[in-house]
Amino acid sequence: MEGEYGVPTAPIVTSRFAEYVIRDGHSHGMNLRWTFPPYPVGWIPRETLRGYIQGNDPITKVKLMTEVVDALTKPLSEDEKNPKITVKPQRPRLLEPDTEANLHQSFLRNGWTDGLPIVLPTEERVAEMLTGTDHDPQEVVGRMSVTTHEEMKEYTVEKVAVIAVMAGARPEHLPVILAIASTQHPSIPSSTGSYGSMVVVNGPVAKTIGMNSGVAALGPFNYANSVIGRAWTLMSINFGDARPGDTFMATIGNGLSFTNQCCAENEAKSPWQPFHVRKGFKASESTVSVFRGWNVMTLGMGTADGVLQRIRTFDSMGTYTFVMDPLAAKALKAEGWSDPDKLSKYLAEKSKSPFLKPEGINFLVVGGETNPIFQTTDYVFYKTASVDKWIPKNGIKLDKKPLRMPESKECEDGLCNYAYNNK
Amino acid sequence: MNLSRISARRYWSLFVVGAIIIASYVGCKGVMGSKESGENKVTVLDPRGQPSGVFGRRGEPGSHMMAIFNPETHPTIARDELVHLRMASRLDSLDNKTIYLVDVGFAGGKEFLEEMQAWFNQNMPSVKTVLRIKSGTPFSDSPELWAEIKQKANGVVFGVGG
Repeated sequence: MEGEYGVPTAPIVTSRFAEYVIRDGHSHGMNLRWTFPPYPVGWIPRETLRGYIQGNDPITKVKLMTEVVDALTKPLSEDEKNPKITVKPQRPRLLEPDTEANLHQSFLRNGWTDGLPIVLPTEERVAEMLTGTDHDPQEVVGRMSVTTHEEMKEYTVEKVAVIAVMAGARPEHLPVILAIASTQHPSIPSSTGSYGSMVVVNGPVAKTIGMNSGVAALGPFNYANSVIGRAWTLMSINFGDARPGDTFMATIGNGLSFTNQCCAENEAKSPWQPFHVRKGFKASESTVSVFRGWNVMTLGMGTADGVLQRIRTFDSMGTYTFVMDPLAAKALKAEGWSDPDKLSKYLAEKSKSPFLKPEGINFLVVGGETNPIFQTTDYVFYKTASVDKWIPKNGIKLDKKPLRMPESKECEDGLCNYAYNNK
Repeated sequence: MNLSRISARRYWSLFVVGAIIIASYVGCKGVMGSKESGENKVTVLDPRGQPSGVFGRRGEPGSHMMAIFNPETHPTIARDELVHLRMASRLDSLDNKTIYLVDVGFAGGKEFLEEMQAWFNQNMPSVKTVLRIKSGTPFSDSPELWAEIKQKANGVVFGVGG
């Protein structure tokens, strides 16, 4: 309104976000005249709101309505007429040399980690990580911000390799981590509602690098799943510039954010086309698909009407992603749903929700056939991105003896351990 | 048992104890790292992203709530364009002026602005206030309302963010 329409404006934001909006205004070159009532203004009695109007701004201690009137009438100062846009300096490529102990402390104190131990990104380790792709280390991969309006931070292939080292990954994981980085989606956007995120890998790369899509796929039992998911959050912190209470305002936070929900789709056991094929990729291509929402809401079992019941019972912002054990998906196929996109259409129609569109309902097949259940999430699907473009010409750079954690035995025809133990 | 055998045992014991002490020292150094190697300085790469000069901005009119969180649909603005965002000239006073009170859509905003409208009616009755609820989400553009404000209003109060 101020700049484009020339109308004097008095913006009002609750005091909890005062520092946030003042800094943000400055970064945009505007010294806006804010007024800050106490927080919150929602879900409180009218009498309290009236008291806020008649009382003082808790930040400035000035009468709130005096500020509003002054915001519209007090002549502009020279600083307001000629605001300066802060230009942040470029970061150095290398940090000052120091001992490993001091650097570990420095990374923690600066808020560059997730609080868990990291692997320090020395020049040697990053150089080794970069053998996981043929791309130029200085090639720009994308820009990211955990906020919706602050200056985005740019990152190169080398920066992504730094993050991969910190997460404990190996060069074999780098193409998948680069594919996630190429989506430019932070796993922890700054919603006060505290987002969770999910990344699902499809295609041959999942098996090559030993990802888990079976028993406990979303649990802490797979090296690749864990470090890839962790790298997403470490890049979100460092490329997205997440600083709690400053740029990152998730009031409760989300325990899923440490490694996110990261796994491969169980294509071998799924009765349906792989997810990435339904999004226009070839089955032979490898991809990452990124999802985001607030809640893993409930478990479910049963047929399409069982799925519909979950939609009717649990509110979302108009999106649902169902993470289905293969047995649950097979039950739906047996019911006649050989195409999950048709099931999405059926559910959107039957829900009678004006906000729910078929494209807002997605199905993933993940799990080890130990229970025919599905997880109901309010996750929205955002994007599927190619992994192949980041894979070296000579293929995935595997270590001579790739690190693999113990894997669950495949369960065939319901005889799982019995069958294996008696061979 | 003669003296020479006792003496040999004593020397043998001393040798074993000494060997254990030396092995422990060497082993500890191997596991913990020597003091010297712990103080060796290493060079690491900076993990932070580089400033890009590109900022996010409000969503397109009618865009979905989540669109602003999607890099592919989230509009951006370059630093060079920001210089055109300037504050408008202020009013001499609010007497007999029209002020739009615009609820941007966060919880409690409408009720808060209704109380503000009541305050204006009671304390500055010459001010004409118009309470409007912005269409779309709190993050999306509403060019029709902005045009109406430019045409009909002398000033605007936006709230309540957060």
